[in-house]
Amino acid sequence: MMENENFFEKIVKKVPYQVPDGFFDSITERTLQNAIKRNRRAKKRYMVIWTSAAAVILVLLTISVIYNYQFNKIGIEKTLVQTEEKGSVKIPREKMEPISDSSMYDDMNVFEKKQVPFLEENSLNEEETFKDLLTTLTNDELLTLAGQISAEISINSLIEE
Amino acid sequence: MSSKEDLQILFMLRNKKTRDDGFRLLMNRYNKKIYWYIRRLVVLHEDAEDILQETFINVYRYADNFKGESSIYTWLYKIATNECIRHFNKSKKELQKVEITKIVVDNFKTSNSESEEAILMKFQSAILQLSEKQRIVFNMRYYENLSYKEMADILNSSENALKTNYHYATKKIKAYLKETE
Repeated sequence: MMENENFFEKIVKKVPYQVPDGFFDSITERTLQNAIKRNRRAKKRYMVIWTSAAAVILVLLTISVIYNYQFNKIGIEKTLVQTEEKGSVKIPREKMEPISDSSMYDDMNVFEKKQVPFLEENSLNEEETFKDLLTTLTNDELLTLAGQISAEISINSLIEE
Repeated sequence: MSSKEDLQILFMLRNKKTRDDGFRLLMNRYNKKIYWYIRRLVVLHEDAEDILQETFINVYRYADNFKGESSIYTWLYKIATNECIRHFNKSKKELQKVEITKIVVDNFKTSNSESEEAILMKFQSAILQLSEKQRIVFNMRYYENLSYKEMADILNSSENALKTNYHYATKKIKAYLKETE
């Protein structure tokens, strides 16, 4: 290896090629201008890429929100229909108003215990008014009825929502 | 490690306000050295100019990425070498002996004495018939006087491999010179 190095040391390390006049005087400025241009172009490209990416993300987000909203709506309706079909839960379709007539409690004697048949839709006679019926109920029966009504109201409000 | 001036230049390059001035200082300091390194590898002035510009544009754009583990000029050599390799890969064509001689003659300085000119011409032709890797290693060692450690850092290679490359390169050059005597 040393022998090699000595051999080549004999050859003059001269620059053997020619360069155009003034090349080294102008190359710095030319390169700087090119570098600035390239940098600007790269920045622009980055901006375009990021803006496009942001736009795509925004569109995807909007689509997914709309899709989720639609899917949930259809899903709830489907579930309700399915449960109705199975007959496991009966959800009244008609809107029910809460009983607001306070006079219905007027004649009620809480201590009076009367034998009244269990409230059923079919057991009501046409002549009997709802008020008359309530007066015949015991405390426990009234509480049960109130519970049923409040449950129905909450189900109704859920459906409405 | 970088010298004080190099560190100052690097600091200026990393600061947006002083980047352009830092770039001017860096280029004025190293453009000749790097140009001749590239020119010896690619021979043609136009190619050397393009590669030189590309090298310094990369420095301008990626100055923030320079970790400072090596000196600035080692970093410059690294970028320049990569650009040269890219250039070699682009123009894959192997040079024939006749072409090599023609390229050397066309680009030769005529200010040398006749005997000197003849030796230099032969010598350049001998370097050009080396493989790309051997040419890079020979130029770094012979002309740039880089240590094997610096060369290993620039070329991502082991010192032993580089020593072997240099050994074979010198052998080939000797053989070429003998052949054309």
